[in-house]
Amino acid sequence: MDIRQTILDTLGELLADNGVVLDAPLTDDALLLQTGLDSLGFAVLVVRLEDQLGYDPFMLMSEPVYPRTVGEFVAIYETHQDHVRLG
Amino acid sequence: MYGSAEAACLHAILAAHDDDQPLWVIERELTAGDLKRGLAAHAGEIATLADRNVAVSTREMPQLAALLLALDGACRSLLLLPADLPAERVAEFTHRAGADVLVTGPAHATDDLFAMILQPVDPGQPQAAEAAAHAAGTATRWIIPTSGTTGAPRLVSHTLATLTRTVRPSADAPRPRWGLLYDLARFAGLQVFFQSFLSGAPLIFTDPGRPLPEQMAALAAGGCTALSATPTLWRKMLMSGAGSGLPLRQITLGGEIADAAILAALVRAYPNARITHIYASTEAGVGFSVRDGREGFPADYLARPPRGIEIAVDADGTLLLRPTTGGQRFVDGATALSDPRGWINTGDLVRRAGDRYLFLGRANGAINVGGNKVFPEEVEQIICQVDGVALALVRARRSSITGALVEAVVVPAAGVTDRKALVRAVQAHCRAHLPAFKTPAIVTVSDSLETAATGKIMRQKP
Repeated sequence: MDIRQTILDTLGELLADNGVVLDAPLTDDALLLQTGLDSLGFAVLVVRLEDQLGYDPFMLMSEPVYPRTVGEFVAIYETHQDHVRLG
Repeated sequence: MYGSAEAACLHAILAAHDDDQPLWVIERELTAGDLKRGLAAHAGEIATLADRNVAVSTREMPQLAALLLALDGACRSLLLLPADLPAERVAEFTHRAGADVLVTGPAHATDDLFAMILQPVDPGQPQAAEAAAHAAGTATRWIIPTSGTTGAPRLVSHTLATLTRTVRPSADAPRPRWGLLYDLARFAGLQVFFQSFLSGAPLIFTDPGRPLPEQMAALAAGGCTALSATPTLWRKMLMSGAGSGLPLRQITLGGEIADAAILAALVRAYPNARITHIYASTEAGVGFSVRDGREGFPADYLARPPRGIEIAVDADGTLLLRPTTGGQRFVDGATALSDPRGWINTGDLVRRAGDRYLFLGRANGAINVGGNKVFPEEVEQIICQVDGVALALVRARRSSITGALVEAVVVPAAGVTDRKALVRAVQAHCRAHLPAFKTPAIVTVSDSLETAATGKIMRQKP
């Protein structure tokens, strides 16, 4: 399973639900909270990914990190990918 | 200086501060002397409100602070109307509290913080007037709305003494410079206000209606070193980088469960700050604070409680508090705020884990989404309006970002086969009829829902 693609697809669906239309694909240095997602939307993204991937890295990490960019966010999921359980 | 002593009234506290002490930062600094002169200029107007039951409402936080300062000790009761209260609630609360005059600030911009507009209102049923039971000359009753335990907001009556019971004036030097991110008409905002005002420490105002980066810029410009916010707001600050440059010495978390992850992240981001998470209930005044940087609270608080309060846990795991300063009560309604021995049921569930008690959430199933309370029944009713839904269950889903989110399980009506379409219809209907924090983050379809022996839907996740 491609974690990065799952994340980008889920984020895209969520933004579309909220009426946000992206005029260009998201790049790794895009700021998460400026993609059209507020902190509530970010929380929704994390639980939807938990349902798809089987883990929430923010509950697993021993050293808590709150990502600022899309790239950092994807990297956190990739770091914890040994927890993937296909839902 | 004021310690646990009964604070007389805000005027008296102001009078004890040196004239050159900066107290409020609203773009520029206002000293205690400025505030004393402002009050003196309006002494005649304030005197006309003696023994009146006053409702105060303004979106401008500095103006609200000025009105509180002017009216505490002057009027008989003081109803605080939060800025985000819908108009029909304003009328209802005003009526229930028996307020006979509404005080607001002028609509146009003015340099005079103490300028007030008085508007007479129908005081409602005289017997409902909280203050009617009170003789003139006693401490002003502060009437504060709470979101209540069953969905209907309650009005809780306090005095300055019950509100400031656990405020510890800071002896830190230099004095902390507190930032205000909350609405002052809410309990969390009042705590920050009292903490700074009683200590004679500057309070930096921000406009809660503005985006977070703008609020943080105001705090940075004001030299903020102490800040109180919900865990959700702190996570947002860490993610957005807003506030990363603040030289914070004191960090306070409240309004939601503070988990180990956010506490650890704040320690890393602000290594020089003391980190405190507070458990507070509008009913009880303030609850208690935890300063050891760990989640939950020490089990040893039951035997050796923090000052101003006693703590117990009943057989169901519900947290009970007994304040050592009595005197708070519900303004109306049949429910007593405390049992005959003075214990207040907080409605919060806790679980013992080793030497700690950890918070589990609300006993009544209310979901705390980033500090906003959601009652599952309200969301279930909205979902049941959707064609094709036979039954709906709404419950809390744990979130590492906002503490909890709303999750819905729907049972389709007979003949409904397109489950994806049903999920989309439920989501669209909820988005159209509910604020974002009440809209289910996850909607799933199930063929049946477990029901308890009483016929009620089971909300506890198996």
